Amino acid sequence: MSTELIKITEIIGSYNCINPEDGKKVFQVIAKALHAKQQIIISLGNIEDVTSRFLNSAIGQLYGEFSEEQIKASLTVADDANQDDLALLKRVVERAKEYFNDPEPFEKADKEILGDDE
Amino acid sequence: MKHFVLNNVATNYNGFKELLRLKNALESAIKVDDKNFSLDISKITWFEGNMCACLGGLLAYFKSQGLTISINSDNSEVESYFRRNHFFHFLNLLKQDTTLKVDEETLNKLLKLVSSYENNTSYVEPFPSMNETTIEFKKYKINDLDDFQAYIKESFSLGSKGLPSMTKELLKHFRRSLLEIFLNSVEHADTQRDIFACGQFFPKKQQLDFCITDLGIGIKNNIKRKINLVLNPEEAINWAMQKANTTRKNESGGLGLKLIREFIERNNGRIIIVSDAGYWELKNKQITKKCFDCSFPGTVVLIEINTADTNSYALKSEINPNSIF
Repeated sequence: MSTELIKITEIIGSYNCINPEDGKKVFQVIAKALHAKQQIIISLGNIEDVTSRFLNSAIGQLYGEFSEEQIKASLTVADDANQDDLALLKRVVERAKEYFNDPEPFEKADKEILGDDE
Repeated sequence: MKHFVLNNVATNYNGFKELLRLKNALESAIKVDDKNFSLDISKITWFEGNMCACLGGLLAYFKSQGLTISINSDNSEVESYFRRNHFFHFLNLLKQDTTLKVDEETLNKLLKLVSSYENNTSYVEPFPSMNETTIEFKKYKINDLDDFQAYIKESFSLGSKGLPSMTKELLKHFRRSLLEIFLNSVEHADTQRDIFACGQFFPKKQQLDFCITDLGIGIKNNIKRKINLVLNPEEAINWAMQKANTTRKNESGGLGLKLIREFIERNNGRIIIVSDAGYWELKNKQITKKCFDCSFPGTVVLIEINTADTNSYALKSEINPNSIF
């Protein structure tokens, strides 16, 4: 099985990982490699600023298309990331897992608690 | 011509109430088809610069409705301030009776006072908020993310002009918070109208305030439109700030505002959100919810940080890159 190193800053051509639209470009590259059953190492190196929206668009949304098992078995993160960016990615991944495992609570629970006037 | 005298505007409920009083006056001028509106800033002795983002949003909104707004002022200190932070320039506001003149004498006097203030703490400020360090007023098209990002980077990086000494981590979290707010506006405001931003640093209080205003549909209407949940305005803001809540469907996300809340709580700072007729404030980990008797045409998000904060924002234990998924 081949291994692909995906450098986020190279894909988007910037050290600023802000825009969710740029995140989609990263998503497409990772998704293609996942479909090809490749091992993938994601590099967060050289990032200056990063938002949760970018990471959600690039990586969080993978959980809507691939199983948690496949993602866990195929993806790793290179050790060039700083801890702050890793912490943000972990939050985004946790959120995505929660959501795609069971989207209902996100969409229904608060209607029940707060009541819907309509 | 309708004439309106604006009073002092601080960053709190009463400050927004004053701006909503102005909004009502602008609205009534539109209703009676009185297209010329005179905004009198002569009586102002206190205006916190970050609130320019909100005032600018309001004036731009009503200019787009057809009002011609002119500034009436014999208060050269306030006027100089609005000029220095580029507020007049970006809104194309003209002084009512004369061509624009930079009052060099006052400006020089102010610059000396600022210098004196920065070098000598015994100086007593006549207009404290006017003499602090301002972060330039800007307006952005909704799709100007790159420009906004450049502005944030220029204003809030190590070595940025006028920026207080802050840890690199704190600066990074602050920048990220502002970018998340901008993205939130782009995604939820449902508007093509501009976004307004302005900030102010208060050296004595070691406090940095930054305000972002959009002229979109507001949080209450966004929640109603996206998930058909009907809430009153302040409860709608509160709903949006809760961990599990998001108006997105078929995709995860909705973390941005929650991360900002966690950051601000840890920093012991403050968040104010005004949207529709709702007011929501988080300070000292306490939430205050209030309602105005009229609506703001969009959403204002203000974050205030304690610049002396030396907290580490790293997690207690190191994150292993192999344990992310």
